[in-house]
Amino acid sequence: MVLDKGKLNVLGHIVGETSHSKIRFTSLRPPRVGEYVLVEYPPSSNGDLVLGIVERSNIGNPSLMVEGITPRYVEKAERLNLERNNYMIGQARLLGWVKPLIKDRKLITPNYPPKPGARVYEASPEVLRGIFERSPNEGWIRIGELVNHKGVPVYVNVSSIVSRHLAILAVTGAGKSNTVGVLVDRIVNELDGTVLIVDMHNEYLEIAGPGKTRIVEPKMHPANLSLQEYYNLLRLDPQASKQRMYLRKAYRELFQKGIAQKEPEKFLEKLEELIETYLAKYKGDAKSISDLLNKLSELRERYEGRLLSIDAPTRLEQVIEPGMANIIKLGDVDEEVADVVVSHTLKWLLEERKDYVMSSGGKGYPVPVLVVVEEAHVLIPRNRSTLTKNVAARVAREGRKFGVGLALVSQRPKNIDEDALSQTNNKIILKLVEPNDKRYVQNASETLSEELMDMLSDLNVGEAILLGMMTPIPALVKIDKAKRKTTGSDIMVHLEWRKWREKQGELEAETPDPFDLMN
Amino acid sequence: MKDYLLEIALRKAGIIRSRVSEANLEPLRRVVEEYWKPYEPREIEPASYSAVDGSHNRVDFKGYTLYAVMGYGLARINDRVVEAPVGDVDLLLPPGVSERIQLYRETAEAIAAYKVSRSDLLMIDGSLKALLIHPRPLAGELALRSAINKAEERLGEEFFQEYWEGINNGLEGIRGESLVVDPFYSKKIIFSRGLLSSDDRGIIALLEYVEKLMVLRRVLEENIDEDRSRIVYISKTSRTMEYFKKAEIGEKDVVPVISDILLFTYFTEKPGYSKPLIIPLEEVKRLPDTGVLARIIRGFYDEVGIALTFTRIIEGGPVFKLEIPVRIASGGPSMEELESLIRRFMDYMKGLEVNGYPYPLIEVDKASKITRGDMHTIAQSIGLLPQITGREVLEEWF
Ligand SMILES: Nc1ncnc2c1ncn2[C@@H]1O[C@H](COP(=O)(O)OP(=O)(O)OP(=O)(O)O)[C@@H](O)[C@H]1O
Ligand SMILES: [Mg+2]
Repeated sequence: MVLDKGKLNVLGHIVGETSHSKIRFTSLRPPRVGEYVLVEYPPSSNGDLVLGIVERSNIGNPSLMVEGITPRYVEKAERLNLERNNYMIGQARLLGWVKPLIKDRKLITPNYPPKPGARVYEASPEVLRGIFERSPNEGWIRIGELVNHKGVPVYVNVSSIVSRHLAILAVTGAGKSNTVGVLVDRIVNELDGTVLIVDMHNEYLEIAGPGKTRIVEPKMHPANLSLQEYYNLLRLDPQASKQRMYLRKAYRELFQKGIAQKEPEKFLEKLEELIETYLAKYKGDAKSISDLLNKLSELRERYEGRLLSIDAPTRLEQVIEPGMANIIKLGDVDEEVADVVVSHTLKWLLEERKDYVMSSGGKGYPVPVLVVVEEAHVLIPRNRSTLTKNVAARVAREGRKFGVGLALVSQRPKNIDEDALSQTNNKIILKLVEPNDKRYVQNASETLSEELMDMLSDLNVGEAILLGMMTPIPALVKIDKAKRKTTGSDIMVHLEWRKWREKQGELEAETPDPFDLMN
Repeated sequence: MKDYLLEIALRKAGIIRSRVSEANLEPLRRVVEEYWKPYEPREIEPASYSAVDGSHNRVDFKGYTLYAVMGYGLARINDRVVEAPVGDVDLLLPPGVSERIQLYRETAEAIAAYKVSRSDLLMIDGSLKALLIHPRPLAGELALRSAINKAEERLGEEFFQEYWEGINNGLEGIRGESLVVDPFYSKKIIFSRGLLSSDDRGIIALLEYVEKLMVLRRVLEENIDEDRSRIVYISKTSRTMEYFKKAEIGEKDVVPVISDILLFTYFTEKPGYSKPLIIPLEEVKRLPDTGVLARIIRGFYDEVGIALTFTRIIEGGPVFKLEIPVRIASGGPSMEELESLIRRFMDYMKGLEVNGYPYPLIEVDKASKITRGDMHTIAQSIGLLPQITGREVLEEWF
C-alpha cells in the first residue's frame, strides 16, 4: 500500500552509467544532501523500489562552463536569463530494497544496477515512517527526526548500542552532551536501562530526572587497589624503578603477612610505616625511598577519606545502581586519578558481568550496563597508554557477550585510540570540521562515504549522521532537544559582568560617603 | 621524422626566406587602405535583440540515416527572455542525405529566426548568400526546369500558391509554440501527396528548397523596413574574396591569395569596418521569371541585395563578416545610409560584446549544439540502438 508508485512524486530520472550502489539523476529541483529517494527497478521478489540517500547535489549551467570566463561574460550571459540553462544533478547511494526494509526490517542491498532513464521518486513520509518508526517494546528509543523529512521520527536500537558500542563525535558545542542526555534519559526511563556516565567536568545534572539520576562520588578502598593502580596514583612511571621496587616490596609484604586482610582500614598507614622502615635498612636508596614516602603522604593528604576511603562501596550495585543513570563526578581529580577510578570501575563491572553470565545469574552484577565516557580522548588516547585504555579494549572485545557497552564521547576523534574507535560499530557524528578528524572517523567507519564525510562540516547544531547497526539505514537526523537540563549551560559572559557591576553599584550606594558624615 | 624535416628546412632556409621578401603585399595593403574605415563603436545595448544559430548531426546505419537538426533563437525583448527552439528528428534514405540534412537545419534556423523577429537587432550565425545556393539535384538549369515542370504536373499549376499560403499559415501557427513536432511543411505535402518514389526526388528537392526560400522571405520581410534593416548575418570564418578581387595586381607580382577576413585581420588592428559592397543575389536569378514561383520568390529576392562588410569591434579582436540584407528596388540605400547602419550595428554589438564577439551568438551556438552523445541518447531512447552503456560496444555500430 505504501509502495504504490502512483502516489509518489517523481523527482527525476537516472542518467549516465549506473552501478548497484551509485546513481546519478537529473532532478526537477535541487536534491538535498542527506535526503532519501526511491529508485525504480524492474519488478523482483524484493519489490520494485530501492531506497537511496542523496550524497551530492549539483546545479550546473553550460553557459558558464567556459575557460577563462570573465565578469563581463557573466554579465552578458545574465542579460539572457542564465537560470534558463540550469540543470540539476543528484548523486545517490543505493542502500537497500524498500519492501524487505519495511516488511521484515531487513536491509538487503541490490546486487545489480537500475536502468538508465529509470524514475527517481521523492521518498514519501509513509515509506520513511515504515522504515524508521520502531517500538520501545522491541528495545528501540526515539533519538530525533530526519533532517530532510520533517516529522519522520528516527529510532535507535539500544541492544545494538550496548553490544556493538557507540561513538558520539563532534566539535565542541555541536550537541554531544545533548545527545547523551536524550539517549540516557530514554534508556533509563523508557527501557529501565542502567547507565554509568564518566563525567570528566562535573557537567551533567539530573540527566534522567530526579528519581532516576544518581551522583556517584568516586571512592575506592585503599586495600582494594592493585599495585599498578598505586603506581599510577603516585605517578611512578617505569623509569622510577627503585621507587616502584620498594612500593612493590611493601605492598606484597602487607598482603603476605595478612595485615591488609586483617586491618584493611589501616592499609595506607601501614604501607607508609613499612616503607619508613626501609629507610634505615636500605641506606643506599634513601633518596628514592624518601621520594616515595613524600609522594605517598601527598596522596594521603589529598585524597584520603574522600577518594581513598575505607567506607568505599564494597558491592558494585552501590556504585552503579541498576535502573538508574549513575554519574561519576571526576571534575575534581587529576587525570591520572580519573584513569585509575574509571579503569577500576570498568574492570570490576566486566568481571562481575562475566560472573553473572557464567553463573547463569547466580552471582555477579545483575543487569547490562551502558558506560558513557565523556572526553574519551583523555582516558582512551592514541599514542599513550592508560589503564582505562587497556580495560576499554577488553570491554570493546568482550562486552558484547557480557552486556557491557561503551559510548565514547569526544570532540577530538583523531586523539582517541584507533582500536577502541573502530570497535564502536555505531556512530553518531555531529558537526566535524577538522579534515584529519573527519578522515580518522572515516577510516574507523565501514559505511561513511567520502560524500557524507564532506557534509560533516556543514551540519547545524544537533544535526548528526547516524551509522551502524543501531539504525535501520544510515540517516541524517536532527537530534531531539533533551527534555531535562542535561548540563550546565554556557556562561553568558556579558550578563555575569553586568551582574557584578550592578552589585558593586549597590554596595557603593549602601556605603555611606565618609565625607557626608562630616556635614 | 622531425629531424629529417628540420634538415630539409635548414638546407632550404635561403630560398624560403627569399620567398617572403619576394611576396609583394603592397597591392593588398592598398586595398585595405582604400576600403577600411576606422570606427570606435559606442557601447549601446539595444532595447531588444535576438540571435539565431543551429546545428545538425547524424548516425548512419546500414541503409538509412538517423538525423537531428536544431534551429535555436533567443531574444531579449522588453526585459523578457524568449527562447525559440525548432527541431526535427527523422530517418533518411540515400542519396543526398548530407545535403538534405543541411537544408533542414537551414530551414529550422529560418523558422527560429522568424519566431524571434522584430527586435532592434537580429543576429544570425552564418552567411545569407550561402543559404540561397541550390541543392545538387537542382543545380543545373535543366534539372531545375524539369523539377518545376514535374511539380506543376503532379501537383497542379497553382500548387506553389497554395504552398506559399500553407507555409505562411504554418509560421503563424507555431509562432508562440515551444514544441512543434513537425516543423517542416514540405514533409506534410510529401506524405499527403505520396511523393515517395525515387522518381519524385527532383520534386522533393524542389519543395524543400522552395520552403526554405519562402520562410527566409518571411524572415527578411519582417526585419527589413523601407528605411532600415534590423537583421544581420554574421560569420567568423568566410572564404569570400570580394575585396581581395579589387586589389590591383601587376603581371609579375607574387601576391598571396587570401580571403577577405584574413586580409583585414592582417592589415588592421583597431576597430573599424570596410566600406560595404552591394552583392546581388545571383543564385535566385536562375529561378524562372514567369509563373507563380517567379512572383513569390524571384520577384521578392530580385529586390533584395546584400550589403557586405567586414568589421572589428574592439582593438585586437576578431574580424568578422557582416551581411546586411537591404532593399535595392529603388536604387537602394546610399553609401552614407549604409555606413550609418553598419555603425549602429557595431554600436549594438559593442554593447553585447565579449572578447570582441556578440555574446548572444555564443549562447545560441552552445544551446543549439547537437553532440554525438545526444545522437546516441536519441538513438537509444527510440530503440534504434541497444541500451548498452559500455562505449566499446557502441563503437561497433558506426
Ligand atoms: N538537538 C539539539 N537541539 C537543540 N539545541 C541543541 C541540540 N543539541 C545541542 N543543542 C544546544 O547546543 C548547545 C551545545 O550543546 P552541547 O553542550 O550538547 O554540545 P557539546 O558538543 O556537548 O559541547 P562540548 O564539546 O562543549 O561538551 C547547548 O546549548 C544545547 O542546548
Ligand atoms: Mg558536552
